[in-house]
Order: sequence, then C-alpha cells, then structure tokens
Amino acid sequence: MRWTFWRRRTADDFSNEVDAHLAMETERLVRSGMSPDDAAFAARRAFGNVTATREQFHEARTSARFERLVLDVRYTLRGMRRAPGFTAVAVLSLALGIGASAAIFSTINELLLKNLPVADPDRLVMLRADDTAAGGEWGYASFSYDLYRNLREQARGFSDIVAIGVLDRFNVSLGGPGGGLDPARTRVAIVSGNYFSVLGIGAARGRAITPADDRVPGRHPVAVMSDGYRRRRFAPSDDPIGRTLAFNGTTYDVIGVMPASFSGDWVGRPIDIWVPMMMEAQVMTERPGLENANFLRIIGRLSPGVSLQQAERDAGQLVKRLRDEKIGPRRLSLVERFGLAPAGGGYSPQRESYGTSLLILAVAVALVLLIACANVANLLLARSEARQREMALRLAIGAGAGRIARQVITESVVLGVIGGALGVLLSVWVTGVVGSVIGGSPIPVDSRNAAQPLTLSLHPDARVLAFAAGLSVLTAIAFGLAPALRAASVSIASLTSRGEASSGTGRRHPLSRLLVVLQVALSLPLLISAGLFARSMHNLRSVDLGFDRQHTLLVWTSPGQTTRQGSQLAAFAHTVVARVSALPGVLSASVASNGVLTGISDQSGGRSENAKAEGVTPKPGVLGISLVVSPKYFETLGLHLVEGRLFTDADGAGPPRVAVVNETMRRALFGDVDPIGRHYYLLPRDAAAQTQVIGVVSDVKWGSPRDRARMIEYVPVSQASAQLNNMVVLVRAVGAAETVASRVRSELAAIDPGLPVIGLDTLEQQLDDVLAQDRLLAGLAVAAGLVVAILTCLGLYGVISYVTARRTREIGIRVALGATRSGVIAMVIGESGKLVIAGIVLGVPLTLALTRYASSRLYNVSAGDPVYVAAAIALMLAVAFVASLLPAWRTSRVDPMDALRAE
Amino acid sequence: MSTRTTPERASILQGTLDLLILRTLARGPHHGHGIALAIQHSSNHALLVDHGSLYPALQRMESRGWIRAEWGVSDNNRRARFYELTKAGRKQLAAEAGEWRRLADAVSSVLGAEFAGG
Repeated sequence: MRWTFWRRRTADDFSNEVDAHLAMETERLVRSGMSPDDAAFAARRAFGNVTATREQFHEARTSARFERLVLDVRYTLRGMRRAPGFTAVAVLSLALGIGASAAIFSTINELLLKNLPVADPDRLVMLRADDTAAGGEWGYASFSYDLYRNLREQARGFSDIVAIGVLDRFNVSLGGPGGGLDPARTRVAIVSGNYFSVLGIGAARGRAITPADDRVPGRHPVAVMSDGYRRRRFAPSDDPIGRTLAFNGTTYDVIGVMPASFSGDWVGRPIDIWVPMMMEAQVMTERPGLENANFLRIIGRLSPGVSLQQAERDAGQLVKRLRDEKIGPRRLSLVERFGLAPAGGGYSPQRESYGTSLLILAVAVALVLLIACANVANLLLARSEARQREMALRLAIGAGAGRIARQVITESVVLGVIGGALGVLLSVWVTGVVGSVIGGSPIPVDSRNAAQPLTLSLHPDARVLAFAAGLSVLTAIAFGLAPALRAASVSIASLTSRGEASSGTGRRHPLSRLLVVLQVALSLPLLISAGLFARSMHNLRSVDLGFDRQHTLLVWTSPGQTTRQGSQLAAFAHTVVARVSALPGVLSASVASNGVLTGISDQSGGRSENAKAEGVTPKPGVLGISLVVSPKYFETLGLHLVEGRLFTDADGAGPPRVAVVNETMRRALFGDVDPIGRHYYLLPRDAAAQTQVIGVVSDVKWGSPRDRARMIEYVPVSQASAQLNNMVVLVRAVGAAETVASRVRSELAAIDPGLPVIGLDTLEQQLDDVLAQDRLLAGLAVAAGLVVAILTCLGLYGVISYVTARRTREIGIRVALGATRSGVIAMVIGESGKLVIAGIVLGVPLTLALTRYASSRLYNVSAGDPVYVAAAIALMLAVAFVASLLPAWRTSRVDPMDALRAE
Repeated sequence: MSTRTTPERASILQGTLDLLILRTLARGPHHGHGIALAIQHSSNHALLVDHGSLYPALQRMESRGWIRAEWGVSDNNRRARFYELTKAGRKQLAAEAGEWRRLADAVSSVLGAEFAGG
C-alpha cells in the first residue's frame, strides 16, 4: 500500500535527522576535549530517550491515526473470521434492516420526494378537481382548452399558466436514413407554447418549443424529442435536428432534444415527443379540434409572494364561475371543489394512492431495523461478556480504556458498513420488486391513454445511497454504544477473579433482557399485520366478482386510430366479434367500450340523483357506469339474466334506444317497480332521447374487488358506436385464457394490421394488477414478519444460552440438591417465557395503536381482530420455546461435580 | 518524555520552545543542532534546549506550516536537515512574541520593584 511506503520513508528520514544531530553533538563535544566514547554517550544522554522521541514523532503524524484505524479494522476482521456464526447473524440482521429501509426509502424518494429538474419547482402548482365527494379516489386533473385559455387570461396570482395533454400514437415514422415506421407506442405531448419557458427547461440540443410555435392551428409542424426517444431511434452519432417525424398524415421538423434528466412532468410516463398545442387536430385525428380537447392538465407558476392558498382561493372561484358559464368539460358539473396541488414533483396519481401503503411500509421497515439493531446489540453484549478476559488482558499489557472502547466501536462500525453495503445490494433487488408491482398497477383507460405499466426509474441515486450510509453509521452507533461502554469499564481485576463465573443469577444483565423484551414488543405489530394483510389479500382474491375470471382474455385496442369513424366502428366491431368467435378454442367473443377490473372509478354514468326514471324517484347517492357492449358480452363474462331479455341483432341503430341494466341500477332507479319497458336517462344531456329498459342482469364488481355497488347500463354497439374509439375485445376460452392469446392477437392483425393493440391480459392478470398494492403490502408484511420472527428467535437464543451458561454453578448445586432434569429444563424455558410475556404485554397496546392506521388498506378484517393478535402471541411463545430448547437441554446435562469443580 | 532539570540552567517553559525556535530561524535557516546551540548562545547559556523535545517540536511546527525543511550540507560537511521560516511562521512569531511580552510584563508588575533582578 502506498501510505505504508510513505510512512516508512519519513520515519527513516526522521531517524536520519536524529542520527545527524547525535553525530554533530558528539563532534562538538570531542572538539571541546572529550574522548569520542564519552562524547557519544553524553550526546545520547543530552538527547534523552531516542526511541521515545521516535515514537512521539510517529504518534504525532496524522497517518498514525489512520494506521491505528487500519490495525483496528484488521483486528476486527480477524475476530470476525474467528466467529463466523456471530458475524453472519449480525451482518445479515443489519443487511435485512438496512436493505429494507433503503428500498422503501428509494421508492418513497421516487414517488414522494423527488422534484422535477425544473427551475424553482416549489412554485409550480396544478389545477385539480376534487371529486372525492362523488366517489373518486383522487381529484382528477383533466380540463378543456377553453378553460385553460380563460384561466390564463383571468387568473390572478400566477406569473404564467401552461397546458399539456398526453396521447399515445402508434404510427410514428422517422424520415431520412435509418428511419421508417415505429409500430411501438410513442407518447406524444401537446403543449402550450410557453410550456418549456415557464417550467424553465432548455433543450440539450437545438431549441425548445416557444410561444411563436403555437399561434395558428395546424401551422406549426415542429417537434422536440426526449433524450430517451433519441436514443431509441437514432445512432449516438446522428444529429436528430433537422430530421422529420411523421404520424397521422402530418410531417414534423425536429427542432430540439431535451436533456436526459427531463422526460415530462408525469411521473412514470416518459414523453417521447412534444409538439405545439396548435397541432392538436393533426395529432388527435380521431377526435380533432381544441374544443374537444378535454384532457389537458393545467400547470401554473405562482407569482412571487403569492401563497398556494391565496392562488387556490382565487383560482377555485374563477374555475367555478367559468364552469357555471359552461366553459370546461361537462363532467365538471359534478365537482364540488377546485384546488391547486403542488406540481414541482410532477403529476403522479400513484403518489396519493400509494402514499398510505408506503407509510405503512416505512413504519414496518423502521421496526425491522430497530429489531435488527437490538439483535446485534445483544449479540455484541453477549460477545463482549465472553471477551472480558481478552479486554482485561489488553488492558493489563498497556492499552488504555479509550483505546479499547475505540476498538469495540470500530468493530460495530465495520459490522455496520458491511451490513450496509449488503443492504444496498439487497435494496436494489427489493426496489426492483416493489417497482414492478407499483409500476404494473393499472392505469385508467380513457380515450387517449391505454392501460400501461409505469416506467419508474427506481435505482438508488445519491440521496438513497446517502440515506443507506447514514443509516449504517447510525445503527452502528446505536448497537455499538452499550458494548463499547461496557468494554471501557472492564477492570484488570477480572483477570484474576476467573471471569465472573460465580456471579450467580444472571440478573446482572438487565440490558440484554431489556433488549429482548423490546425485540418481542416490536415484533408483535409486524407479526399481527403480516396476518392481517395476508388475510385481507385472501379476502380480496376470494370475493365473488360476479363474472368468470378463469377463462377470460381481454385485448385492449384503439380502432379510433385507424381512421374509422361512427358506423365504420360498429361494422369493424361486428367483424372482430365474428372472426374471433370462429377461432378454435374460443367459446364466445364480444367487444365493449371498456374492460373490467381496471382499478379506476369510471364516472361515465353519472350519479343516481341526476338520473330520471319513468314514474319513480331514484334513490340518491349511487354512482353509475355506461358501457357499450356487443350482444354476446353477458355470455362471455358469465353474467346471468335476472329479468327481461338481452340484446338481439334486431336492436339496431335507430330508435327506440334500449339498454340492459344491472340489479343495483334497477334498485336505485326503479325501487320495487317492474323496470322492463320503462324509460330512463342517467345523464341530463340524454333527457331528449330516453332509453328503455329491456332486461336486468346480475351485478359485478366492475373496477376492483373493493368496489361498492355501481349502477351499470349496457348499451348495444349499434346505438353508440362512436364510443368504440377504444375497444376491448373480450374472449372466453374453452380452457385457460392464455391458450388462445396468440391466436386472437394474430387474428386481429389479420383483420387490420394497423390496429393498435395496446394490451392483452387475462382477467387473472388484471385482478393481480388491481390488487398490486394489496399484494405489495401482504408480501412485504409477511416477509417482514418472517424476518423478525427469525431475528427474535436468534436474539432470545443468544441471551438465554448466555444467561444459562452463566448459571452453570447454581444449576449444578440445584442438581446436586435433587433438582430433576425436567425441572431444570422447565426453569430455563420459564426464564425465556418471562421475557417474551413481558414483551407481549408491551407489544399488544403498541400493535393496537399502530394497526389502526393500516385499517384503510384492510379488506373485510378488522385491525384489532383478536384471532390475529392471539396467533401472533402464540407464534411468539413458540419462538421463545424453540429458542430456549437447546440451551435448556444443554443445561440439563450439567454434571454437578463438573460445575462445582469449575469454580 | 523525561524533563531533566539542571540546577544552574533553567529548562525551557512549556510552550516557549516554539517561540525560541521561530526567533532563531528568523535570523536565517538552521539545522536542529544549530538551533539548539543558537538558543543556548543567545541566552548566554541561561536556557537549555532539551535535544529530545526539539525534534518533535520541529516536526509539529513543520506540519503546521510555520517552517519548512530541506536536506542540505552543514558547515563541517555533514548532511543535515535545514529549517527555514515560512510566511505563516513569521506571523506566528510576531503573535507569540507579543503574547510573551505581555505575559512577561504582567509577571514583572506582579513581582514589583523589591524582587526586581532577584
């Protein structure tokens, strides 16, 4: 090593200097008349202790401190090799604790903490409509271009306001060399001209879109691409500036490339291409016209000095007024409240829906980490007891108490660092799992964005690594402090008194016992929640959804992007149904305007209080869904007819408008009256063309197993074909749904090679996706439960075997006095039982306090369910029993003569 | 470290050794042995420099940047490590000298006239 070389040279250098001094002094003394021998001796005497001086030189060097550290670390590593069992358990405990914490932290970091790489992100806000009163899970953020324009002109408190809409296109082709059609999904954002300047992001190459690029509808065919898209479509050496991109019949000049750090403001949805808002009609050819653009998010930058609350008050009133003037999407009529949300972290519906789960997990991993620390502290304590003689010996040969304490602290820090490093590796893996579960959860299918996984960049960044490093050091201090203090207080006397073998009852180690009690108390909430979440997951999986999930395949397509419109869509649907039904292995096939188990609260059917039913007043407070389906839909999904009839081909495009409704809708709208043949409408806009009920079918859990009962009206394809812009093909297979997947896919390609197939899922997969959060919680809760059960077992084992070993003599006397072997075993087990019961007494109230916060994520099981509390207590007692079996057995073998002689 | 006291010569007060070394080097570069002799000479042999503590002190001052050192050849053709004052060293000398004078004055005024020249 370099530093060793350097140290030797300077030490030699110092020696040379001292030698030179001695020679000069000797010479001087000889000159003054001394004999050479006397002079040399006198020179040495005048110098004093040459070796001590050299040592002093050594100590003073900063490298010496480093050298000491290296010695300590080497000594520690040697000690670890000598005690591999101890080391493995300690390092593994820490790796689990730190790894789990780092994984959850990096997920929280990505979803909750990270800011967009924009200028002054704290001043960005986003307009939101709060529809929680209407049963939505979060406020939605889609508005119209009209609303944006009016807001931008009239709102006070903003330095500027931008609008952005995101659409998926499947037919983008690149002009020039190496170009061609890209059949994959390309995410296109239409942005107002001020988007980039207000956010404060410049292009990495070329230039960004400016207000000058956004003046005249259809006249600004320019595009900015993301760095990710550039890498996907271009060789590294190619310059994309000046090349062209074409889709939906329009060719765009590439004017810029964004930096790699910015891929849009939607977390998990990286944008490929940005084009000016004025190109809306060219991008969204299936429903052109900015007057139809009801899917824009509106982001504002607050003026200096204006608080979010001030701006929110003003903007809220303004939007309400605009809404009342019939500006903005129609569905705003249901919204009670408009607000502003911080937008500096980007747009992320997941943030809110996963917030609770992530906090639950954060508490869980914090508990695991505490338990791991307690475990390692206990191991170190037990080890330091065993090493008392070693410490005393080192003290006796001249090490200071401070030096010994430093050695012990070095040991904990080395453990912490190794555990932390392993933990980071572990966290990369855990984060991958967490990320894929969160990323895989379903996304709303609406007219522009199909169901698709999130692209989360969950890799450890500097913040996560700093977190893990800080955690390692903190934990090292937490678990290393007690052993260090104890080591520093060792006395040489313990060398002569033969350790403390005679110290008796083991009551001398309150700290170890306290740590075990603490471990048990902290484990209990984790064990109980593992049970609760697993039960909840089981409940969710076994809910009767009202349809057959075993054999059904869903294919998400977008015929709206194939230039078909109106009746062409109906004809296309008809062809698809006919050809897919004819495939071998297919029992029946149908199409619908939306799938099931999307996890999203569909609002298309309004609310029962706004509906009207012939001759009856509807019961208020029930949400509705409106679906367009082909006749075989009910058969394909396995819904059964309750009253009336289903569709036939006779239900054509013309009047009368007819619909099949579900039982909930029948109860909400018609009460006890026979609904067949009666007219109704769900949305006031349909008041002129009322619909007649022809049949009633069974209820389903439409969005997720958690869904409350919803009204559903099923409208035949022939009467509402425009809503088939996005079309879900439902296929019921004879066997497992997967068996027909590839056949269905190739048949669709044969019907129209240009049909965008956005996704293909079995209902089982859809259910998995909808339950992603519950799976995540249940999986991690069970894993955490297992880990802490093992850690607690190890901790108890360590303490009990240590304490009983200490009591060998006492037990020997007991045996000599007639105690039976089983009596001794019972005594040892009773010892650990006492600790566990103390832990349980502390843990139960703690659990009840903590699990209350988890109850919002539980399904059909109460947070305080005594069954799970009892099961966890039983498990803890079993763990205590197992942990003390071996020490108990060992103790029972004590030969009283040996035990007494050992003294 | 052994502190030897010779009856007829005062040993150097803790902390003043640095000041003396700095002052000596202000006259020009010196090796360690030369510094020790120079201090003895200029104090008319009233002060004895403990050779054993001189070198650690030089080492310390070098690492603080007050002095720098280089191997060279002495008057009688011996290889020796020569020390010279740095800019920081000069500043330090000024500061320590002022400090010392204040202390000496203070001690003198406490002692008063009757113990003057004791």
